[in-house]
Amino acid sequence: MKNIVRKSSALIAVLMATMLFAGISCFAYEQDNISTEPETSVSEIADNEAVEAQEIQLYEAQTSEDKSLGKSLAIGLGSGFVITLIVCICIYSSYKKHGATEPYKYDENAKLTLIDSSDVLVDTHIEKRKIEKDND
Amino acid sequence: MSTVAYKCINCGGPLEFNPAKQMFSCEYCRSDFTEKELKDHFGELDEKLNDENNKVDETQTEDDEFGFGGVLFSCPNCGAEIVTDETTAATECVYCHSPVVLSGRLAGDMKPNLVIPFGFTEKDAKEKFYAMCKKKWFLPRDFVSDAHIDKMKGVYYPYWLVDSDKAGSCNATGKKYRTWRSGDYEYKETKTYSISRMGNIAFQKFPQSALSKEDHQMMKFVNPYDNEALTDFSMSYLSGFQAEKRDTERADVQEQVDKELLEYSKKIFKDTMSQYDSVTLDNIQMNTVQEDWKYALFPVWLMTYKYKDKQKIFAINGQTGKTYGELPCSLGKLALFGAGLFVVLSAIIFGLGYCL
Repeated sequence: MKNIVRKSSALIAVLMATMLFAGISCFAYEQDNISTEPETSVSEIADNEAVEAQEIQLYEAQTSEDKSLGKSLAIGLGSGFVITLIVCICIYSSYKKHGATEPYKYDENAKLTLIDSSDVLVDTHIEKRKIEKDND
Repeated sequence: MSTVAYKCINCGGPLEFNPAKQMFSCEYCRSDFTEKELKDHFGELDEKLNDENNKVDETQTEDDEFGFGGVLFSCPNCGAEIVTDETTAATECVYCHSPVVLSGRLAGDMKPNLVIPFGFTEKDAKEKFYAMCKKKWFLPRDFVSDAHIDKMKGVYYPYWLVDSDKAGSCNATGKKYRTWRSGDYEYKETKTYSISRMGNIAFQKFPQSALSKEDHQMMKFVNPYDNEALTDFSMSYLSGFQAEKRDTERADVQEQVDKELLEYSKKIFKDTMSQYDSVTLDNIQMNTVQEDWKYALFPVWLMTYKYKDKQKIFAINGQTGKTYGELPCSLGKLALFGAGLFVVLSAIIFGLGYCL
């Protein structure tokens, strides 16, 4: 019974994390696809055009911010998942082969006597690359 | 099969080697004896090992009624007949628990040259094991208990110790990198060198397992031992422990040893090229100038445990305490840890990404 409870809680934790990841990814995706039409009045076209332009600017700024938020979330969750997976695999494999370190300390038990040694420069190669400047 | 049981000089009880005192102790009268005292008293027993006539000729055993090369021997203490397999050289009687050394299996050219005695007792071995388990967070909660440890036994395992003088040379290509900036440009300079090294390498006490039936990985990774503790072999060291005799001759492992020493030679030559950012070995040639092989027994505390109906083995170096083996990993604990790590890491990376 205890084992079943433990396994279930572990499974629930994993499912919750996956659902969290999926849910926030969907939120990020939806944010990228939202489109609304700003309200405009028919009369007083000249004044309303200025207001429209202002509202469109605000809308674009908001959409851009939401896109950036969604992107950061997706990157955060994706990176977190990959790093967590790698860490868990490393821990599990360390338990399977505990203590597999170097069996022969060659630096203590082997002695090298050099008779001849040569280091000859055969080639020098220079690469040149233009540094891209960021245009904000 | 000739057997030997070391008995207390004072009371006649069984004598065992005591790792804590590094002396031979009697459990009955609490007497302790040094190796010299034992040699003086039992000296003729060790001399029998040098007598080729005393060696048991295993090939004469025609009737393999036990099916695994087992041999029947008589306990020198209680007279009970006990079966052991073909490589066992020391054990204990299952009836009276007296330590027994099968001296016939260690005679002649099967006599070990060297031995490293046990450095700590079975109790200390268990404590080391429990201390190591405390550092392992993902062990199942109920694992660290006597209930799971079926048995811990001290076993001497056979090894070949190789002293090898090699002479050779190697050629390699080394590269040095340098980067710098000037104005709007980044420059990367790569200098390529042709490297050659020639020299002699003297390998000392390279260990190679001499028992084919055991797990090679376990016998390899329970090393290294401190060779300073090597001492001349005496049968008395085996008393109270189990021992295995070798079933692998020098010719069987020569190729393996040469291969491993070649790999170490590459590492040693590469260490002389540490000034380069990257090194590629093009070729290496090593020849053996001189070699000396010695047969030694090394101590291992072997622990068997059962978990989820599976029998596993865990080894502890009987001299240094180094551990090697497979440990059970609780997937539930690992999953919970993973979920927590995922949430924390995601929050940190998201926060950094959003702020930057």
